Amino acid sequence: MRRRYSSSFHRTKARGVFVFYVVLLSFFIVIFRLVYLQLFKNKEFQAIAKSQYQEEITLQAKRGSIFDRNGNPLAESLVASSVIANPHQVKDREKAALLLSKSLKISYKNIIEKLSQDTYFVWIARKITEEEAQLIMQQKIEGVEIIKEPTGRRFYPKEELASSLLGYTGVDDQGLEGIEFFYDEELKGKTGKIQMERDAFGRAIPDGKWEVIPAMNGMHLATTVDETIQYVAERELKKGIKETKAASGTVIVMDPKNGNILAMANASYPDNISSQNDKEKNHALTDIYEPGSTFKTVLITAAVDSGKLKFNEKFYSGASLVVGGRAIHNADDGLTSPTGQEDMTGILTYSFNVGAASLGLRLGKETFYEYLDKFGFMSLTGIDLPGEGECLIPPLNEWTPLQLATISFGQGIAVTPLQLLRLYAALANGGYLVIPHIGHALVNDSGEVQKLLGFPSPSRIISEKTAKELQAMLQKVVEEGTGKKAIVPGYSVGGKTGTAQVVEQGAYVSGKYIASFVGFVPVEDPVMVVLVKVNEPKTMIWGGAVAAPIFQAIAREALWQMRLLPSSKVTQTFKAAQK
Amino acid sequence: MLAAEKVYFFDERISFKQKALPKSDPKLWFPGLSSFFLVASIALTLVIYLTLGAKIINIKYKLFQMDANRSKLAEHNALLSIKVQELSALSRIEHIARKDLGMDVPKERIIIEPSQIVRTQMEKTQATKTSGSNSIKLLYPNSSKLLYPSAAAFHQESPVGIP
Repeated sequence: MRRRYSSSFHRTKARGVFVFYVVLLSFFIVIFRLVYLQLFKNKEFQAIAKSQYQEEITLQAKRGSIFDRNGNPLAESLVASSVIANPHQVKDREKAALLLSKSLKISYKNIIEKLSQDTYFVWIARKITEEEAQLIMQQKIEGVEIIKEPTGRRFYPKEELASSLLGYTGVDDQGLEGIEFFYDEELKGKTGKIQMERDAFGRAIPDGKWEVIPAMNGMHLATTVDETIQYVAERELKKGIKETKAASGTVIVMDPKNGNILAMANASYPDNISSQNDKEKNHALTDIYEPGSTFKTVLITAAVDSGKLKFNEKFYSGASLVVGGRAIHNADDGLTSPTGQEDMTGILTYSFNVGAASLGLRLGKETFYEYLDKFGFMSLTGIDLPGEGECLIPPLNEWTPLQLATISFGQGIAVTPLQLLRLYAALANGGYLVIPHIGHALVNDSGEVQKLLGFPSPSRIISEKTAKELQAMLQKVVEEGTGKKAIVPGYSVGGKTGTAQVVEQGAYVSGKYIASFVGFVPVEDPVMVVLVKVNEPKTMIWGGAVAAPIFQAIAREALWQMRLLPSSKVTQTFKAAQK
Repeated sequence: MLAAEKVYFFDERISFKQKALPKSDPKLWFPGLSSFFLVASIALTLVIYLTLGAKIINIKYKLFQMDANRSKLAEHNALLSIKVQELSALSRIEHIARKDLGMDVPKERIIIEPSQIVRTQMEKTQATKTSGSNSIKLLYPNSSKLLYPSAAAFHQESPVGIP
């Protein structure tokens, strides 16, 4: 017998089926949604999740330090902090600006302007000191944060020592001038990064996923500069400029055997505004000038080495000489030739312009020009610093007899101090033209030399005999001639004084001179060659009176620093005196 | 016949049950005791593992903090090192020497090379020689090398020099 179901049963059953299908549909919706999220939105949500739990930290790369030849640091870098703000989060702008202004010593108005901008990020101050950063963190100003910069802050612990030589860096720690610019690739490092997972409190999860790209610190640069000699050079130069009320000056000290620059100093008279504006410029390298009588050495070296003129040959050195319709006179320093005829030694010792002109005319422009090229005046020295100046030498086909005569005593030609110094170094070292350089080696954090900075070997430009003869002549200049104030007691000094007129807009300016002295010590085995140049001295004008004493003061201290004892000749003299 | 095979006698059924079920051991009478111990030991191991794991994580967090402190100290040390260099700047030292201590650069220095006889006599004593307004002390140690070594010993090494 078949059972008969009531209508209520049918309704219940229908409801059950309906609910079943609804639930089933819901499940399918959920499943489809899950599939959609997992397959199609997978990457998007992964990225959102990563941004929440992953953090990327930039690892600062420390810029390499610069050391002197004795390992004393001249420039160093430290981790730098900067102050940023989100103007939208800063509630009390006036209070925040006041606190920041006091802490950072920045104008209140400047900060208020920045905090009033309609932006979410502003720099308040870049690369502040650690003390300032600590102070701001303690103040807990809402909307203001301290962040670590990807590049550090540059410190020069020796204050202004060698500032024009070292150069400086920009806000992003990039070299902009001097050694910092030239060796920027080696000094700058490479930032790294850490990608890590962090928890809800923002702390790094130790066992989480880490990806580390280590930062590479920059290499350290060991230079040839001697901190003490550099300091003495700057001090004596400033003293000399102050005493003579000169406009500015330059000193370069170099090892003649290998071209190591021991010191390169620039200074200007404190009230000289134009010099203050470009005090960061390395005038020792960039400026060209008419060398005056210091160039006579170049002429006589060419004459002796060429063999065209005899060593004891006499040349007219009277009061004046007419060349090309113009009269050439000796300097008005009271020195005159008794006979009116002088040999090369006499011309150099007493700095006779007329004698030099006569010699130059006898030597000939072709030979002289050839030797100027050989001595490196037609090209750059190749020093590892930016902005080296080029000599101004008229082309050979434009040389008139008058030009030959004036170039013979260093007027009508413009050279850089470094190029002239290099020639004197060649005389000091026996005839080799060296490549001046500042960089010595690249060193890593452990102090190990990673790379010795090589420079081309010196090349012979004159014979050793010529060099020895010129050394003797230059020694006589100091002992008997115009360079007596360059004598360093206990040491034999060779050198030449120079007093050249200043050229402005193509004409010589009356009353303005450049006083200079170039010399080396000790003559028998020179350890340094020094050039001193003083621009527009006012109280005295002669190189022998202005520049030679500066040379003497620098050489005396530098020899003491180098622990070079006096020559045996002086010692013997003292022993004889004791007896 | 089938029906007869399926019929169990009451007594046999009971006895079968009695055979099938041995008399219960009082010791094993508490159901799942072994499983309880098993679960308990697993749970304990798990708890110990988690506790130690949490401690290790805590230690790692502390190591991170210590590393961060070390970095800060290293930075501070570098800053102090720069301060030392600033304090030892020659210009500062000279300023203090001149202004505060009243010192001056000697006008001349005298270096004496003692003869052999003089050196022997002076080896055990100290001598002082004045020059101008400044005093220069000359010490004569036992070994004359310290006083007057050969000049070559003090010449700078020139790695790239004259051939």
